[in-house]
Amino acid sequence: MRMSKLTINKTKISVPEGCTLLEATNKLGVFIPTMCYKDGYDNFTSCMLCIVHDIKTNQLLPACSTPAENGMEIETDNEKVHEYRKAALELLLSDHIGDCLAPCQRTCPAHMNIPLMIRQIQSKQFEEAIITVKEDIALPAVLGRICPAPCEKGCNRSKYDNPVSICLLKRFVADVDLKSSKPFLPECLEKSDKKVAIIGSGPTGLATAYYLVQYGHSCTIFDKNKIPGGMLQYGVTDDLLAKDILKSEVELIHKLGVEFQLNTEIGKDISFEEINKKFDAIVLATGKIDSNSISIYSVEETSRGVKVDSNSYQTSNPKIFAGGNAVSEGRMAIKSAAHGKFIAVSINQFLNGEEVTGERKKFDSRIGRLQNGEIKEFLKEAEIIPFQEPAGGLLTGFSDDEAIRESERCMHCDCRKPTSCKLRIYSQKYNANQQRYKDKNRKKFERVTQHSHVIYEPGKCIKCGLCVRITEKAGEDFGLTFIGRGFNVRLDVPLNESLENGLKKVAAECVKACPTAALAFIDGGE
Amino acid sequence: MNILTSNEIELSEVDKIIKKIGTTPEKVIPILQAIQNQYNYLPEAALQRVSEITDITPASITGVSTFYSQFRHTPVGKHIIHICNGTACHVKGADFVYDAFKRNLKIRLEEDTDSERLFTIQKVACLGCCTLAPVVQIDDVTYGHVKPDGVPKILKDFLGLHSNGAATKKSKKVAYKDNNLPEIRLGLGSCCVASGSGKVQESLEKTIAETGTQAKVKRVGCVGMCHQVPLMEICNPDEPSVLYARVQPENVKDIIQRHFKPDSLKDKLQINSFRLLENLLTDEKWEPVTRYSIDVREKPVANFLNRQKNIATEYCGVIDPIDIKDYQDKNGFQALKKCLSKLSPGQVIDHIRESSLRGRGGAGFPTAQKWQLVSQAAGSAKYIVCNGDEGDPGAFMDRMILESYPFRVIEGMILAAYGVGANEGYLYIRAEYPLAVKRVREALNKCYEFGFLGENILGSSFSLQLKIMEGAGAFVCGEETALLQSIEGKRGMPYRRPPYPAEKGLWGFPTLINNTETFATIPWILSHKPADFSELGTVKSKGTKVFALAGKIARGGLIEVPMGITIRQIVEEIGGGAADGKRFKAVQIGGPSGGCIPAELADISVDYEALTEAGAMMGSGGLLVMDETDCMVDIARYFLSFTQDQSCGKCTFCRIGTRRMLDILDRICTGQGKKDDLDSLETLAIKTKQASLCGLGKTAPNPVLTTLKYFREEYEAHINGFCPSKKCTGLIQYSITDDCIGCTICAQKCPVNAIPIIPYEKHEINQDRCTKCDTCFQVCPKDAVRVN
Repeated sequence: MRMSKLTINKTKISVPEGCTLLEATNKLGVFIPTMCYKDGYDNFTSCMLCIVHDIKTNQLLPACSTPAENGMEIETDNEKVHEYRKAALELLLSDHIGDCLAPCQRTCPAHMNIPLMIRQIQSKQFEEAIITVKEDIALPAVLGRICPAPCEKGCNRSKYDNPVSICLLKRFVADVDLKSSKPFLPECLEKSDKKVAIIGSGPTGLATAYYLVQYGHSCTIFDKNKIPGGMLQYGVTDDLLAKDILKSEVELIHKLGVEFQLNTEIGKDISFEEINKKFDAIVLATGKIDSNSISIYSVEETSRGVKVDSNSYQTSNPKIFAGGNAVSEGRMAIKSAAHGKFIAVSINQFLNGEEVTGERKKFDSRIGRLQNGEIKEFLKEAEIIPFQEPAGGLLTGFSDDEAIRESERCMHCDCRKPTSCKLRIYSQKYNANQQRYKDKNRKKFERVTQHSHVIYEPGKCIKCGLCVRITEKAGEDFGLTFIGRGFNVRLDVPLNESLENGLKKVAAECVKACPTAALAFIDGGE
Repeated sequence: MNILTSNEIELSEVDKIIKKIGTTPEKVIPILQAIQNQYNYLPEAALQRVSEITDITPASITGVSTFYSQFRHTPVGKHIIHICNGTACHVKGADFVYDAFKRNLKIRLEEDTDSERLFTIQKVACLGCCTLAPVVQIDDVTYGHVKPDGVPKILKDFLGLHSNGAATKKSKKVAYKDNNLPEIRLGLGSCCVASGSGKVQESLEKTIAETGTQAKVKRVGCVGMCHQVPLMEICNPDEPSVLYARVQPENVKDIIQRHFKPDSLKDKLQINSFRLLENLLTDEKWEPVTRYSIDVREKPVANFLNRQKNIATEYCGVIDPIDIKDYQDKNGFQALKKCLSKLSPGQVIDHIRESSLRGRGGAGFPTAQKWQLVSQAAGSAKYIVCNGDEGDPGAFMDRMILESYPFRVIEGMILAAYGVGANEGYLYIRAEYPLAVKRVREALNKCYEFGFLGENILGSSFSLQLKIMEGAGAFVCGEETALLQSIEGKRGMPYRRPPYPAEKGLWGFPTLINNTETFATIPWILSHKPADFSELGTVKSKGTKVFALAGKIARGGLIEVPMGITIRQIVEEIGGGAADGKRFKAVQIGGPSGGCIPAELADISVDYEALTEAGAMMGSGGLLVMDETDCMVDIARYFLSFTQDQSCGKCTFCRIGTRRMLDILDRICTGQGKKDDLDSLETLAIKTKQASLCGLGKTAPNPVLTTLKYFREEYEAHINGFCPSKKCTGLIQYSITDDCIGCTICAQKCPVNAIPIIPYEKHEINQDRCTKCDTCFQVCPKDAVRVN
């Protein structure tokens, strides 16, 4: 067999003639990102993400379809390659009509996975729903009563009638859990030998502790008052928040292993030096704090409070973190609670000796403001029924049936492949900016719901044609085909047949191969 | 004609079509074309029928029928108005013409058919009649030099023709006294036909029959002087031949009587009218419908013709396109006879190699090297393909060559096929060139009949079958891999080379693809010494090149010039410089894939390397001249909107990259450009050029990059809110100066009533109503309309 000799990232390699660069790099274990390529199918050379650089000729070559030739000097990861991959992604993103996160989740300060919670309510999976909620919100029963619900302002449904009552639904889930015989307690990792002091038992402190113990670190909350809860306990009236609710949620946190040292004021009952000596990390969750008090901790301050890095919440002292009103006074408890979650991530990084970056922001594609007619597409997955107040009034909350009814109003704006979407993964990896090439005119969001278990959202399609190749090879009666050409080309079932008829044999294969959520399972399985 | 809905159509017609064409997958395009011919569009029920009774999959039917622009999926009006959107038409105001038709027919913004379903209006890439720009075709009637305010007259004219068009009588045949008769040569290239030479021919035959004139009417192909069509030449053995330009049917009788002695006294009396004719011919009064217009008689044409060297276009204006005997009389098939009897295939390739011929399709790959690759490639069969999918707006070389010299192209293909060992092949011709298809089809039939095609050609052991494949409207099919996909009945989406078609082409077999012009030069080269060809041209670019010269030029047309000639010589000496005394500003060479070269650089010579270095390319040979009134940003936008529209949509950089570049240009042209837009545009253009999959995407940024390079200050001016050439409607305003005499002509002609009709007072333009159609500017007798 004739062989081609070339170098890939300065390593010499010899491959059979006719072998592609992608096959050659695979042989070396060098990873090349692809979206339109699939083993066992003809290559199509559409996405151009697999671009590599031939240093010798200074050409950019798509690895999936370029034969490896004698003398090539390929580099797969240099600056130029990254620049072009990023450009390919940014071009695709400029024409990507899809939200990674539903607007409600995006506007929620804690980024709670609201759509998932709602779907779990809809299918009566209340026990799963509380897990979803508590993934991001440590005190849902409390917040379900006092949160001003910024999420509902983001809800797309409000463009049709009223937003979905997310806050009431969250409260419903939390109440069901609290009332159950065995309220949900998350699994905690094996105990580490690290100890964290949390100063203040308000929403920030409680949330930090709730998430930090789950990483296995020991947490002690110090509070000068005799009842934990901070502003939740002392700043909210009883008719808004019955204090036994707060108590139940604090007890759950206590049950998880968090210690409370109440009636203990720093600098009075215990010195900061002592805490500093005993603990590996310290969280300032004190609530509003004045300059004098800040000086106790010898951290830098701003005019508004303790100075922190906006991502990691780390102060000028690496082992001290701060959040909530200690950083800047705000009004929303949910914001303070969210800080707690983010601080926990940072402290875990700190204690594990990792770089302290805070929760890495995930790439988030955005449709932008909805245009005329688009709401109809979203409504295809919702019941067109109006919002109904709970029979017992807003203060009583939803019954099971009422919650389920309300959950059916949700339009499922979130992406069905938030973790497996290759466009998202690589956009994150190459730090792509969706706005770079965006034009004010964009295509319309569309949703095809003619299939029993597959949903098709053409705006998310990157025209890789994998579904065309798969249905063709499988001998589908209709399959899928390219329609039109150029910028307006779209994928659809030929002869105006329904998606159900187009995907009879290989629907699942197509969904799995689709690099984005253009084709997805209705139930969201990735 | 009734428009039938899908449910009502007679499906037996579909069955007949399929029975005639076949049921195999690669037949999908011809089947769809035949169905469209039958129904005027593709009815859903007919497509379903095709999927039921053929091996063509639904995916293929829908995929193919939506890929090619030729196919329509909705019923159309009784008549179709094609507005040519080629480059020459664009610079001469095709958009205004389009708007005028829509206005006159009261077609709503998002629709294309009028409420009575009489007319459907469509923009087409290029009708290839660039010298008559702006051009409009209604069914098979072509109107040239159309102006927006002439549209009502055209519609009236067309409907008039249509109601009594069928009544034309067939003229009777003339009995000739002897064979050595004077010839009346009538140009029948598309430009000539489009400008009405068919009617002239009718009139001529009628006149000859009525007067008994002893002269032969001979159809000849394109003369090249497309700026003066229709052309008629009287070749009387006893006197110098006289060429008449812009001949109209009603002039024919006078011209004939001027040259031939009338038989009867009555006719003798009428000869006096030729004085009158002289007057008419010099009357330069403009009439909106050029079908009726009469213009000056052509003066000496030496300048136009002298610098040319005809190889591909040998016997230009002399040879009958479809008379095989005429072709043979003029050395036709001599090269073939010589090669088949005396040269081995290898020697044929050697001969071409020594001539240093390079491909005329654009990139300039050495022809012999390509032939060698095909001849050496292993394969149980080999194919030959003529690329006649000339889709560049503003180019009409292939059309002219195919229409005027079909035998030469075929002979070139036979010779090439002999050289590489191919026994089967296709001529892929744009569907927008019906005349070329018709002529080539006739020529192919003759070749079979005379033994130049088929089994054992001229008694040799060499056999070749050639067929025509009609394209269906996709510029990208000029790219060779896309063209092959199209012949195979697929969407014309290019794929990555290597493997090159020479190794793995049509249906996986080695395939030779050459451009039409390349094939047309082969017979000349092989019937001459290689050096005869290679001594023409420059060091690296030998021989001649055919150009379609159009745009703002005094004498446009089809020219063939030796390589190495400078652009300035072409524009100023052959073309007579910019038209109407304007300043020559730039040329666009190579169509949408090429680049703009400013007048200051016009002294560079025409060869592959020099043009590429300047940022342009030879391309297939469109050469568009622009004058001082042309906006270079608008030109860049025009070309990009063409390529963007023609992108197959496969690879990211071309599909979205060209679109985003266009978005930026749109913003710049409408006054919404930002300072950093120019840098974004340039970087995106470079990326698209570098990383697109095929030639279309790789060259689409060229017009943008070259105009940015040579005319950056024009871009900057747009960003600062004004268009120096006053072309971009988003940046200009019309107003009337004090020179106005209140004649109300502008007010009467204004299509949107933006100028109140108040006689003897200075007119005012209502800016809210004004659509900037430029009509007032054009009609004002006092030049009192200003564009700011």
